[in-house]
Amino acid sequence: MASITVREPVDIVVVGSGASGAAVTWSLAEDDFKVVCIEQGPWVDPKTYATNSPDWQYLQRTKWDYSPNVRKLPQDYPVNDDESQIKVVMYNAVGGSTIHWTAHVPRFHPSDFRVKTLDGVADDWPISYFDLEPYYDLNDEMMGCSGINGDPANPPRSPRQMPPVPLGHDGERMARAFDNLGWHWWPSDSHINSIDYKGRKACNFCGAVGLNCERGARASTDITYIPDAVKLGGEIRTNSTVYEIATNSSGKVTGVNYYNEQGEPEFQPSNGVVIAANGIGTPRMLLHSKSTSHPNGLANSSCMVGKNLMFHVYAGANGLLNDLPTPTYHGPLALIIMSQEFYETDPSRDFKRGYTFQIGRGQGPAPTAIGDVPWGDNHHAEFNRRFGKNIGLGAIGDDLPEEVNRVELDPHLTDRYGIPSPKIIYRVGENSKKLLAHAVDQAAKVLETAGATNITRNALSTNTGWHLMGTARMGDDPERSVVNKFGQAHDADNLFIVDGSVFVTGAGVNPTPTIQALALRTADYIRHDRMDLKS
Amino acid sequence: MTSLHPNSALQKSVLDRIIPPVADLPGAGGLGIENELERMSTEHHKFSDILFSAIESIQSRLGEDTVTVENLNKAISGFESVEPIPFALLLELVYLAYYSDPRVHNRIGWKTGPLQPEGHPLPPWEESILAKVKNRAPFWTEVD
Repeated sequence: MASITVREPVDIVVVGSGASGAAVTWSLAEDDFKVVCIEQGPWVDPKTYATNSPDWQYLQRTKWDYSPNVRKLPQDYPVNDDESQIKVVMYNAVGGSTIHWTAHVPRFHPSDFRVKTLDGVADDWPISYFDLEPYYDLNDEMMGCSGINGDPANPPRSPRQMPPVPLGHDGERMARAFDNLGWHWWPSDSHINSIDYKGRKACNFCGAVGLNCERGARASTDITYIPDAVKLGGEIRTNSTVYEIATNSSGKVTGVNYYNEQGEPEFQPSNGVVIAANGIGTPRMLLHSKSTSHPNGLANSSCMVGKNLMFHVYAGANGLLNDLPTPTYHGPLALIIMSQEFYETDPSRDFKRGYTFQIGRGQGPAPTAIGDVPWGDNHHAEFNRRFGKNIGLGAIGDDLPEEVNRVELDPHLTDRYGIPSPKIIYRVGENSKKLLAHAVDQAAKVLETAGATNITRNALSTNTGWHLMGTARMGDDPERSVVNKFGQAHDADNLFIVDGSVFVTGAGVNPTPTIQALALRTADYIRHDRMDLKS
Repeated sequence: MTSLHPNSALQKSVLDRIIPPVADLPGAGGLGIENELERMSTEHHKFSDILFSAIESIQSRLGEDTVTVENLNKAISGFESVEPIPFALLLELVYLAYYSDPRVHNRIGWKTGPLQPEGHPLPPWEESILAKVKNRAPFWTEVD
């Protein structure tokens, strides 16, 4: 085996530069911590974004695909999700999956942190919404939030940085449908610029928000937190794959072992380690970091690492709006309005917790045809009927944690370095099935009210494992959780986890702003209470 | 090595069955998108050999039958039902190639080329649309 190069020690190593790793790196650099962020992927040059290519439809389904198993880029590790009803998607690069996200940023509700107390399900979080609120606000400032105050479904909050993204004719039609039903709706909060913000241009509504744009209109951490972190002295070390968190005989973390850009092994000593590798990558790394002091894998004395995997469950209905003045592919794909009419638990329903409705727009010609338009004699008639008229109303459902849903190390599948790949075992729970059945019926009702035709129902979306949560859960009890309320591992006080792994429950909203708020809170804890980690 | 099938006549017929001619445009077989199909098949592993193996499978299903619309429909449907995953990939590939063609874009009214930098116009945000919902009393659950 090649000898391992030992780098100069630093205060903190952050593993991963996505939504949360970037936020922690920036925050610690701001307080003069010597911080290195190790990222398995490269910088992505905005000029190479698929939206700059006439071939964007092909790129969207190949090397810009959401699934690492389809992309198979050098930095991607394969994920065995054969035993999962929902397939895993993620992106590996500076910026992580924010390179590929749709930037929808609703917040958790206060009740999401108290589901055991309120509803008798899962567990309460060891923190409250109001513990996180200042960090949600700070994150909005850094990323730039478009939206508007006054939403009756959520607590009052600080003003957003920008007005809402325009609804478009389709969004207005759907909003009026919700109004006619007497149901809640509100413009989506989004980390998309509705006006120029911090040197990034306003969105020009090309539609393919998940493919990013050179304008920088949609925030991703490679153009928000990371440049600021670098200016403050933070280092981003790219194309470097961490394969082990190293520990000493007393169980404390001593740094990380990784393969550098040339594929050579290196050791980065540090006073502390922050893992931000997402709800799949983090348990994979912990389970692979076995040692005499952590025989079940790092920070796994509770045997909770990898368990309680949550995705969000998605279902809904689709229809055609035939009489709009503009096509439904004008505007950001998934950022129009949301409805939380059915978000909180209602004892009259046969499930606990609830869901958020989100509207999805039509897309370009090939995405319209693929999956919806049949081949053969009816092809053109069906295509013409759908193109520019299709609209979707999807429900993102609270996916309660179950220990049987989990991440393990695959006994056979590995990445390019021979590091075991994650194996996902997941099935949709009974509560989720009832919740989704309710959501599908209500979605169809909204579409009917909007005047949509050709309404079809989708009982479960499967290629939607965007939100990876719960696999290193937070809690006060070291026997039932992996980290404490500050994201600090119970088993190693200089190890922190800041991605969706620490979620106790998933709520019924997109998780990224909550992940980032938690990360900023952990960084604040390190800055104020763990000065011993600073040299 | 080509991803196209040596039986180019059968390949053309199959493609034309998947997306038939319309108005003044040929179908996917007659449009001249073979180079695009080959490029898409070879540039990314996802579509490697899909076209070739699909035509092989359809050809074997046809057997000695004459290549008629009816027989092609039957052979393609057989392939679809027995091998749904390769068939879905075939359809995805053909749809991508066909709906990336500027002549098709022109027919359906889609602006060809990259999505940026032009984007699409949207009417400006108008707050008056909130009139009804913003008068609703807060209904989020308060906790300690």
